[in-house]
Amino acid sequence: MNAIAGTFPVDMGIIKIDGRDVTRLPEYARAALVGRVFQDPLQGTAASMTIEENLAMAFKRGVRRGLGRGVTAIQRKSFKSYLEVLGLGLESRLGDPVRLLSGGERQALTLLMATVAKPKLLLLDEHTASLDPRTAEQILALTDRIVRHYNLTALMVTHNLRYSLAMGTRTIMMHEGEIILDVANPARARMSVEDLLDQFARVRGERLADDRILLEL
Amino acid sequence: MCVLSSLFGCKGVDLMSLFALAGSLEQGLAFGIMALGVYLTFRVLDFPDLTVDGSFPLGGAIAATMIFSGYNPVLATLVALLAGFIAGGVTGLLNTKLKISGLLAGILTMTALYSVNLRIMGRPNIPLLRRDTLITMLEHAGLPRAFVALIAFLALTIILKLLLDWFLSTEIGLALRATGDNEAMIRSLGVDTDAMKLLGLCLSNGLVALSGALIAQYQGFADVGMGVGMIVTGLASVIIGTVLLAPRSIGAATLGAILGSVVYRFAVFFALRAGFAPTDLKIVTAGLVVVALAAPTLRSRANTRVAVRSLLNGGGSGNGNAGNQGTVQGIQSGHQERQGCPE
Repeated sequence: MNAIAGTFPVDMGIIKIDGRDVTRLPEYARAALVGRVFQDPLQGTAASMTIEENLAMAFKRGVRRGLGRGVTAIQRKSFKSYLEVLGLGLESRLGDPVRLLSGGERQALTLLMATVAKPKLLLLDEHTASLDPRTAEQILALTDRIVRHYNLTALMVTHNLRYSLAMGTRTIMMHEGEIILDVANPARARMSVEDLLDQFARVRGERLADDRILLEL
Repeated sequence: MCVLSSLFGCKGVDLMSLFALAGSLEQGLAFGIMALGVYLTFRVLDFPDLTVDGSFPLGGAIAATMIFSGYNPVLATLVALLAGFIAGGVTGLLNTKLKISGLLAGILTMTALYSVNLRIMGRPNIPLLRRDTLITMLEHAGLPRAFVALIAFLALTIILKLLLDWFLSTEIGLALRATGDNEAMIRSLGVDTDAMKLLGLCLSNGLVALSGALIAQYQGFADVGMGVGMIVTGLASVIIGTVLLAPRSIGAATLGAILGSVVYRFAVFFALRAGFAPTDLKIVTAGLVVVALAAPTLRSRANTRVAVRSLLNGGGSGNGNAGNQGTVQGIQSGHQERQGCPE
């Protein structure tokens, strides 16, 4: 995730987004292409700034910023309609600093901020892992709605096997830095969590066997 | 005068002290521009910038040297501002490009500026007696002599405050504030945060040097040592402003910084009247900043202690309440002490 977003440089290989080679681009220069939601709800928003200021910054994703007004009256109106989609009542709290919001509310706002400028790729980095189960479900449902609504390409990392099959159209399972499973619909639609576990156990079993041979145990 | 004397609880305010009091107000406003600069780095960018101790005398040195050599005071003041801007840029480059920690970058620039300032002035002190300064220019322009500095500084400080408020509400301004709040987040939104820090440091030190230029013209000399402890004075002003106004908006916070600067100068005035030696002022100021910065920590520790004690006492409601009241009173009296400290 960090390699794709440009947070740290890659040792080898190239990264292409929508056909464009971005391997050498610094993180801020990739912003127009990549939207990202982190695990920690505190990471995606500026706490001391208001909801509308945060959204205004998100609308300027990857665009040159000037000395125009940071939040305009027209923007304010559109922010309201965007926030109404979340169904959290945030549209009536535009002037509140984000620090007053709950973790779930902040994550919902972050999700909105990552998607309003319609990036080519949405990175979801275990974005529900630090939320309580009920809020996590809400955020996931919202994620699904937003991704479908804007027809976005999204890459979601999760440790929850159920989510990994329930969301999206393709599941890639990784173990120790290698891809051990890559299934897409329609085959994926027939898979269950047990199938995934079986697959994982089988690969890990082989690995352990390999290690034993190597170590001559 | 009656109002003033009753307000500040001083008996027998004579004409001389009233003049001195007006002088404190003028100084407070001129130093207020420096406080705006400190607010920009310390609060907005969350960058402890010690360049201030060097860029303040830099502004004074340039303005005084140019005026002494016969340049127009307006030009001299503008060049001072520009020089401060560049000094801030040096700290910014040290920090962002060479990855030197912010604190050390500021100290390095400040130290280097000491030599620079001496080079500019050619000697440690330049008097501006019988030279045309911004203030005498305005006197010639017909402003009443007794109020010229007050009017000029008030107008300039308010204009700069409004400009800063405006700037911080623009698209770039929002990006700059977000850089101080959540750097990773605003970078992921496509902002070059290094450029933002650089810009913030440039603007801040430009303001600081401008303040230095004004103070040099106001007091009629520039001295190479005039910047010692300036950052702490600036911090004290910002903190006093926060205590007085509890600002929720940028506009209130910048007003607080200016107000804090004025209150600080009044506090200095009364401290001197109360018999403090001028040389002791810096330790009083430093103490004030320590108390203000430590207050949240001490307060939460006191609260925890009370909570633990009431739990140990079996959670008896009577005890718990008494304990809580004690804390509240403690905090309140601590609060008053803090506000009363400089006076």
